[in-house]
Amino acid sequence: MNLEDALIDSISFAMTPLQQSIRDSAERFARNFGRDGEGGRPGDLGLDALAGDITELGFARSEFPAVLIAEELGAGDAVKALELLLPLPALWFLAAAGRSADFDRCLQRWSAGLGGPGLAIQREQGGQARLWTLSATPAEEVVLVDVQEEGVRVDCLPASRLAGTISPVLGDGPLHLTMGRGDPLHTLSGDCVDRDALASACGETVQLFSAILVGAMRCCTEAAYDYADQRKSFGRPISHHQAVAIRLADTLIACQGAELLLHRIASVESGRDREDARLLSGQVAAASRIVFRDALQVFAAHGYIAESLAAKNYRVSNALVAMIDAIAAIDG
Amino acid sequence: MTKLDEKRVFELAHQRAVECGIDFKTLTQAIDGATLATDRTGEIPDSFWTQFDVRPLNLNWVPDAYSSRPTVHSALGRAAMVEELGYADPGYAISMPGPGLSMPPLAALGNPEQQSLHFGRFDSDIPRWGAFAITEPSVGSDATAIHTSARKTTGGYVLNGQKCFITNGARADYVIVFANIARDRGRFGIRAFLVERGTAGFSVDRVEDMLGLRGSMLTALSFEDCRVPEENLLWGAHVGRHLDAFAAAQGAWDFMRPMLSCIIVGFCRRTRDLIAQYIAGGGPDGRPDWGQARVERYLADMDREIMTARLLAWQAAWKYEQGEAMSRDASMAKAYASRLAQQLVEKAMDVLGMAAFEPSSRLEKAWRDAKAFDILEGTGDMQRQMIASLHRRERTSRQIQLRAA
Repeated sequence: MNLEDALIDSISFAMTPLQQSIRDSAERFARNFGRDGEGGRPGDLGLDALAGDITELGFARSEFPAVLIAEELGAGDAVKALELLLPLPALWFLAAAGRSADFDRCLQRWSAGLGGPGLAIQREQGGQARLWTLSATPAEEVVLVDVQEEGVRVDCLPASRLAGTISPVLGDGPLHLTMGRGDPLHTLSGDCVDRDALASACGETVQLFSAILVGAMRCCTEAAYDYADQRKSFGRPISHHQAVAIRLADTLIACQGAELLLHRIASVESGRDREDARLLSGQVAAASRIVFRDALQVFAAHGYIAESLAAKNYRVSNALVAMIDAIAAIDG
Repeated sequence: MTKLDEKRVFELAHQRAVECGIDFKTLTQAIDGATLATDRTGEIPDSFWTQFDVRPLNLNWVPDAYSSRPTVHSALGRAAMVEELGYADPGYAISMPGPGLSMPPLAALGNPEQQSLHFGRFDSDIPRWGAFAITEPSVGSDATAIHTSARKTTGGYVLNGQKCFITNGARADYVIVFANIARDRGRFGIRAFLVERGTAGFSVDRVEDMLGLRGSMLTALSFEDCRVPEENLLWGAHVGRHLDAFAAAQGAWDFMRPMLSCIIVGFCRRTRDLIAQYIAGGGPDGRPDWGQARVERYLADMDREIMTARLLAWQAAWKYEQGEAMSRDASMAKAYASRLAQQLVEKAMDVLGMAAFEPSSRLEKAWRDAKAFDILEGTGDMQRQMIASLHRRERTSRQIQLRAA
């Protein structure tokens, strides 16, 4: 392949038919988020199959199906997308650690619709541990990624082991993010996870969460355009006022830029290394701050009501960005 | 690691240049050596163009059918080349010989004889330029409101009016001038005329003393009873019902904005490298000692933004090549890249402080150059207004399609 083709191939401006069909299925699936209030089952979208090697499913690495699905689900409802997709990174971390028995058990439960594992990240500093856990209800097990100075260990624990050490942060909403601080939960004394395998799991997780966020950005941007076209001031839609138009344009640019970088990084083999994970997390964070801040501003007070799309995303995106950043910073 | 892919972009630029017969290495080195002098004088001396074969530069953007040499066929090849030129110096990048912004309207509105005649002049060993004149002293972004008039007379038209901020206007062999034949018809009253240098009534009033990008010779032009022969009107049955002169002007911006964005990406990369060079020498002579982790983080932040700017520009260029509607993408690329350029030079000034003013430093010049990006080819504010409006239009047509389906 010549240099130019190689560069074009690594950009993915046009979707392959397979990518397009994945996207369409995920979009249809996400539309039901709003209708019946259910998040759906992983098997409906073949999510459980994505826990393993996607090339065995007939995908090229450059087709990034998990990212495409996450983006569409994120555009439907970021919180539900996170709930539905969360077992994937938990399983990726188990696979990276070579814990095949735990992997098989968790995957079976998830595939059977019995709930997938949650994910917890523990980082020890000066004898104290900071822990954050994310789980879809009802998570019976949690994959703990224990980041220590000498390396990273991964374990699979009953969710009850974490209860009592942690307190809810966004637990009042459907996003079950909890934070804890106290004695470290040391459960393993075996080998640390291989550095490359760990980087790969982190990289894929960063891509997956970033995709949810990019989808949410797109949804919020479109909602802001809708609102700006309907809402009138001084006798014309507010989208016709230059100050609002500029704000709307900036959200669209930020959104588009983040999506292009996400697709670029997801499509290349090196996209799961540490540097790319950090590159992506930084851009998605910067873009999401612009999009959710400016979209909410377009809605003004209507966007500040807690249940509004803009307000919900403003809050959830902040947590997601912090998670993405924390995962990108994991270094074995 | 994805990062900036500088090596592959550099290799691609060089490969494409070699295929066209452009001695890219000599060209970029010559630019590097001349840039500070041009910044002082505002001129690119004639001797500059004697250092290499200018014919392939002249022909670079000429459509294949009218070029005696191979040209860069692909959008990505062009993008890589202009990015490298932007790295060398953005002012020079937009001052390269060739039809420049006049190419798309001549290609879209000119009949085969006009195209053959006027593109044919670029097949020359002397540097030749074409220019594009739509902006007027009292009309900027709202280009449909131009005042320059074209009155029909026997055998041609008489042009009256003024144009300003015309890139390469003083060195151009011809200027494509947009003028009104009937003001009451709005954009549909606009026509494009090819005005040769030296035509009676056409004068270059002045080359603006610009803050930056000083090699680009931004020029004020005036037309006083300037007689243009009938055959220099770019119009006729060949144009087709779907096109008008103003749409052809928009086509020129669609072509140029992604290219300009790539030039800005090259400029951003250069600024980033200047900062990196400076902080790498940390410690002595009052430079900050940042520590490895902070330096890496700082540079990575710039890299991701530059990478994003490049992707936006490439996407717009790629869509142009595919014949897809891409005005919104072109504006997004330009708006993002020009704001980024400004942010990077501000970062650079924060880091370097007084060191930016050393005679050999390019940063003080970069500081001035960067401001131009958010102004030329449509201001940042105007780009954003267009982005919002084009996106709304696209949403409406999508909704209509959905309803019909």
